[in-house]
Parts: sequence; structure tokens; C-alpha cells
Amino acid sequence: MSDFGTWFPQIITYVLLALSGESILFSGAGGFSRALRAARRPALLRRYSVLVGCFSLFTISLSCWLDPWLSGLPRPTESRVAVILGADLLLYLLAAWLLRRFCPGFWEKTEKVFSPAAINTIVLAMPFLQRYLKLTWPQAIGYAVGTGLAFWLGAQLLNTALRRASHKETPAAYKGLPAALLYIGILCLAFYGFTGGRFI
Amino acid sequence: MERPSAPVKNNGTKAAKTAKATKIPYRERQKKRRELRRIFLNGVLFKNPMLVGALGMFPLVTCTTLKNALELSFLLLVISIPVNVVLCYTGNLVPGWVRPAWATAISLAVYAPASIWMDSLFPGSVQSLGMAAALMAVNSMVLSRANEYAPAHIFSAVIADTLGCTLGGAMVLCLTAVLREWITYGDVGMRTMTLFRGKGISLPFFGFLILGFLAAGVQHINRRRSQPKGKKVNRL
Repeated sequence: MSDFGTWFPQIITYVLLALSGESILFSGAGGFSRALRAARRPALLRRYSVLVGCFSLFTISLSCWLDPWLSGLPRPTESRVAVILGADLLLYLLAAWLLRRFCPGFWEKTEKVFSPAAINTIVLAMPFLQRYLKLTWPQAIGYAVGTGLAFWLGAQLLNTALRRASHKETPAAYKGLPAALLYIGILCLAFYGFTGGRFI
Repeated sequence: MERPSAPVKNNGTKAAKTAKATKIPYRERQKKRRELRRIFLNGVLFKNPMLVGALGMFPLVTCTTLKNALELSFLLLVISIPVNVVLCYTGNLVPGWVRPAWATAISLAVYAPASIWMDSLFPGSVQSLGMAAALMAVNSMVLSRANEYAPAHIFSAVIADTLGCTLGGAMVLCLTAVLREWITYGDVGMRTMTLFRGKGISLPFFGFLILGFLAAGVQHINRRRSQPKGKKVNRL
């Protein structure tokens, strides 16, 4: 019970952190293009978000594990990104190979969003990868769940923005993407409030 | 300009040979040149990857000075050409599910020397760009062209597309950055400004607003082009 009392608040704190202040999607536009593509396929959005959460968890865990070795490398910013992205790609290949071999049905359903989810994880987890890398397990789980939720929420908002931007009353030149971008620009101001005056 | 599915057949008559030696190759060359120009211009303006495809928006939205924009444009060019060329030749040799990882791995391999090169040309640029430079390795504009366009097209078309998209992206980057720098400082110079620091118009929301208006401009141009000549197009 005391363990639960310790790690549960940590998970919740990091879920909220990933959802708000550290959410790179609106506060810094990272991963925005892929989120916009995801928003155009609402049927796949839930699976996409779950995959982003799963890849985030594995990538963050791997990063925590690799960090002691990475800090000694020359040009730490570039080498850290390179090693973690390389590890994420290997993880993607392994997961895709296993799914194709043992769960082909599941693979068929998720194939279209599997690689974007893996690559987007790097973008969405970048603030974390740049700064922390010393999280406990509950914190890592919380951050991964929060990243998946932030992606889902962001894509839902973008889906709404695109639908509203395609309204028949919208001027022709602004219909679709241009109006959605203006809508998102204003929405970014709200997310700016969460970050306390800084972005990313 | 997709890869030809079958070679062109040759009937051996003298007339056909003469035509082939003079007119057809010339026409073919002209046609190819026109097609390459069309691909290039699509990348620059009419199907600009940032303004029409909403790809690679992160550097655009966060870039606030002309110097940063030029540095990111340089990085974009240096990464996208080798990635697309490699994928043009090897993209079809790997299975479809491996291709995204392959393209990203090439991009990552190119990013390391490219960032060192950029740092030697613009000292301190990697430090000031920080995460924006690092994320160029997974830029959706580069990776989507490498995954979807390069393996299905011939070399010259891939180069025209890559150069067009890079120039189009760089133009939008620089235009946005110039506007933001001019509003912030009252002039445009080669200022070094650390990204992700600042207030007001240096925030991402302003980048989205500029982008929205630029995208509307391109959409209006495309609408005008798609209308038959002589027919009046409604105003914005």
C-alpha cells in the first residue's frame, strides 16, 4: 500500500507533465505534421496513440539505461540523439518483425501507423531526452502514458480544427489547412499558459 | 515522372530510325525538361511541402531570425539530397515495412557529418539551434519524400523534386524568419538567437499564424490556376 502511495502520485504527476507543460505538440510544434496526418485518419487514431505511448515507454526506459554511457561521448547533444534514435529504429524493426511473424492480423491493422508512431516518439520525447534521463520506473511510465494521451488529444483537436476549417462558409482560399493553421496558432497560446512563459 | 514499366520498342525502318535520331529524342528531351521543371516548381510553390502538405513544420514555427533560417535551410539541403538519392536506388530493394527505418537510418547517418559541417560554416549554430537541428534528422518532409517519392521515380525526377522541395521549404523558412525578425528588432541582420527563448511573436503561435496566411496565398494561386482561362475567380 505504501508503495502504491509512492508511485501512483508520481505516475499522475508525469502524465500531467507530458500532457501540459512538456507537450511539444502545441507548445513547440514538434511532431505536428504527423499528428495532422493522424488527424485525417480518425479511425486509426486510438491505435496510433497507444503505439506512441508504447514506443515512448520503451525509448525512455532505454534512454535511462543508456544514459551513463552516453554522457561520456563527444558532442553529447548530437550523439545522444543519434544513439537513441538508432535504438528506437532497432526497436521498431524488432517489434515489426515479431508482429509480422506471430500476429499478422494485428500487424495488418496497425501497419500504416506503426512506423510513424515509432519515429514520432523520438520527436515527442525529445524534451525529455534532452533534459532528464534520470526518471524512476513510475515516472517513465507516467511520461509515456502522458505522451500517448497528449498525441491523442492533439490529433483530436486537429481533427476538429480541420472539420471546422472545411465549413462551407469558410472563404475558399482559407478552406482546409490554412484556416486550421490559424485555429491552431490561437490554440497554441492556450498551451503556452501551461508552460509558464517558456516553450519546450 | 515514374519509372518506365517497359522499354520502348524499336521498329527498324529508315524513317523510324531518322525520326528517332532527330525529332523524337529532341521532343523527348523537351518533354522531360518540361516535366522536370514542373516537378521542381511544384516543390517550390504549387505543392510546397510546408504550405500545402504541412510537412516539416517544427523548424518553421520555431525559427525567428534569418541566420537561424539559413542554417536550418542548409541542414535541410545537405540531409535531403543524399537521403533521397540513396532511397531512389535502394528503396525498392528493401521490404516496404523496413523502408521507413532505412530512410531514417540514412538520414541519421547524414545528420552527424552535416551538423559538423554546418557548425564549421556557421560557428555555434548547432548550439544555438539545439533541438531544432537535432530534429532535422527525423524531419517529416525529408522522410516522407524519401519513403514515398524517391523509390518510385527516376534519378532526375528525384533530384528535381528534392531541390524544389528544399528551395520551397527554405523560402518559407526565410520569409517567416525575416518577418518575425523585422517585427521584433525593426531590421534584419545576421543575429544569433537561441531558439525556444523569447516572447510575443517569437513564440510558435505566431509562426502558425504566418503559415496560415501563406498557405491561404498558395491555395488561392492554385485555385486560379485550376480555373479555365477567361473565367472569373471569386476573391478571397
